[in-house]
Amino acid sequence: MDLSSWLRRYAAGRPHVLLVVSRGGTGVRLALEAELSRRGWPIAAGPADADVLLVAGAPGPELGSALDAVWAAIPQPRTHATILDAARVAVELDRAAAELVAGHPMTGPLPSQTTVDGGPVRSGEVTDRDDAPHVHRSAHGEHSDHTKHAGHGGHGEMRMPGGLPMADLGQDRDGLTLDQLQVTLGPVLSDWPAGLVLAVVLQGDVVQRAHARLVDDPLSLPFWSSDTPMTDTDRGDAADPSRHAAARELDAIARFLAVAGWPAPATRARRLRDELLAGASPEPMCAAAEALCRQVRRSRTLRRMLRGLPHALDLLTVRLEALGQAIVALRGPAGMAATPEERRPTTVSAAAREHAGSPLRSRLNLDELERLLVGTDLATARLLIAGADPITDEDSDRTGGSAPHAAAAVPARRPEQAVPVGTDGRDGEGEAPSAGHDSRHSHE
Amino acid sequence: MNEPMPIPAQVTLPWWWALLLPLVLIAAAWAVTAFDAVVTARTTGRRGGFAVPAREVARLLVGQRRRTVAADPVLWRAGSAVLPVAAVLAAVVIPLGARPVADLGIGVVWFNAVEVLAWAAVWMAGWGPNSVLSLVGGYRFVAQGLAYELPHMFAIITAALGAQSLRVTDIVAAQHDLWFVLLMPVAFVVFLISTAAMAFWGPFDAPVAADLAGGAAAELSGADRLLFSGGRWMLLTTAAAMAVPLFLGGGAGPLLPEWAWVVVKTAAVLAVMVWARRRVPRIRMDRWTEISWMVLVPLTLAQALVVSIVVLAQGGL
Repeated sequence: MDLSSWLRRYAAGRPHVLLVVSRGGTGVRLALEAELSRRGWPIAAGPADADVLLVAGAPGPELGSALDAVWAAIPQPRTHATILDAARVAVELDRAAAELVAGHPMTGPLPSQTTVDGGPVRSGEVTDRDDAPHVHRSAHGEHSDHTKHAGHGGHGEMRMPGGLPMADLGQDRDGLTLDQLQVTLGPVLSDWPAGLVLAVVLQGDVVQRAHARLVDDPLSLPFWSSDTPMTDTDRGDAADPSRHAAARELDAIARFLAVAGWPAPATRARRLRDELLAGASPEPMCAAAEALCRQVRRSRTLRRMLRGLPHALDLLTVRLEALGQAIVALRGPAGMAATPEERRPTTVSAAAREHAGSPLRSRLNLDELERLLVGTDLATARLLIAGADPITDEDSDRTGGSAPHAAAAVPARRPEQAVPVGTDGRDGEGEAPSAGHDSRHSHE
Repeated sequence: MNEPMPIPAQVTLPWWWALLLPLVLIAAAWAVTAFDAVVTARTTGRRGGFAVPAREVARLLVGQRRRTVAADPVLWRAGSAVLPVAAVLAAVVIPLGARPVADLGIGVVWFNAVEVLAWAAVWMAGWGPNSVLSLVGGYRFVAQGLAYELPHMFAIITAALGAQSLRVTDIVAAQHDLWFVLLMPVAFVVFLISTAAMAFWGPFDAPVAADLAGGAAAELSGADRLLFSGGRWMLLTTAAAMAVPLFLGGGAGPLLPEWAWVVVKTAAVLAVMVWARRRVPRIRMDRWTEISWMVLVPLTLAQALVVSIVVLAQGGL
């Protein structure tokens, strides 16, 4: 055994995992996160830092093509797996580690071709692909034509090698003329709603325009269901809706804290979530979750960071209130009796209510979300998305509308409508999108 | 502090320590990484974590290096390589025990000048790959640098002021009676905070944060990532070790030899950093600039004023 294969074998004891969640893959994601945390395998922030590409749930055609692009950006030695069933998580992780040890350059099928029900799921056209000049500078989750570069080891993730077109210039919010970069965020990003694709125009790191949509269609029922508890398809014993609801809110708050860069309570929230779903007794869970809420509420640093960012503090309050309600419900009938009257009026603070439309909703849809994002910097945008926690694994209108086909749903909203006015009184995004931008969003 | 210290015959370590210094620094950074990994493992309810740095190094050594389209390879690769080099160069003036590798007359200025290389390093690593997210990571670090650097310099200068010398061994000698952490506590705290910002560590890790998919490091893999993240650990270790001669009396202490005290004190400073990273949410640079300039700069200036008065009262200058 030579040195490099020994090193490979040793490193395979702790591979970094890039986790991609398809719409409908939430159940598998939760099982995966719990198992990764148990093994101590870190979750990679991006493809360059990953060894294993894990897809939770069945990817549709668009996510599949994004996966191929991401796969091309993962350095060798690497491996990938698509996991459709939460029960197979441990088996697939073991297999992935074994393949990393074997270490032969993986030249097998692309991730999109090893998926679901009846073989390759690639369709002809990807919604975001077009021939207009397009500045592609980011790697993550973009749909790009990587096949040109596959010959030299899978590095390319951008179209048009060399000779990339120049970025357009445009006025920014401070009256400077800066490059406008058109960047697609998602669907492959950590702590990101499953299947969300956010096309943004960036100047510096400030979002000038935002257009949110969802890839593909979920092939399974949503894991978190507001009405009925999930049956045994995803997770065996999830018969208790209040337990489920509390786990969902813990998941959401963990994501917000992770995006806010506060690792300790984020980890704690995820552990509580996993223990709840694994069937731990509710009372100690409730006490721990309440302690967590108190800690987050009391953090002066967090408040100081969020204050002044449009809506961030409101959305955090919404998340905490929703978690509080779920805990009360989980406590049982005694707690439930006190819930509706006491809690509901304070569910959503004024500003968030204005955007959410209904005081009882704790999740924003995509239209509301993209309105919030304009004028924010990327860090704030990530916080708002995590705080809004849009529902992405349902077919309903509440998700911001992915009707039968994601591609067909896009032209229903004109790009002009996706260019909202500033949310916090900033001006500077008044210029109309050029014709080139329009064509980018239309797919008739 | 009353009269100039007699200068010892041999103030620097033997020349071959210059070759040993990178290894010492790597070993120290390795230990810190392992400690951090053990703490991380405990927060998720696991044991172990000691093997993490070894596995990471092995993984990055066999990992493929990444190339991107229309990259600026020279700046990009240099960005990764500059970090460990800067850490070693900065460590040259830190006394490892009684004596440093190079006892420069302007040791404090040298240290500060070299650690500012981190600005260039992170910016180049962010700029090089021609990728939006890593470029934004670079932006963030430049903004962070503007925020932390002024209070950082004032804190360092206050220590030099207290010793009336820019030579690091003189600063240690000046703390013979009273450690500077007691004479200038504000400067010490500001130094620790700005050190974390300089090593983009803990609550100041926005330039490489996961919300940017790794930020300035987003496109680094293989050996480049090893240099970048290893260099960052080394920089953190160096900066924490510098707190010892500046504020914590250098190798002074009972029973143990001087080098052991340097190790113990450095480890204590690093433990605080590892702890703070988990306790505090990520600091946004726009907020931090405000706090830094409106609160910390006046505080450090007031601290420097107090120290100057003390020095004058003791008949210095």
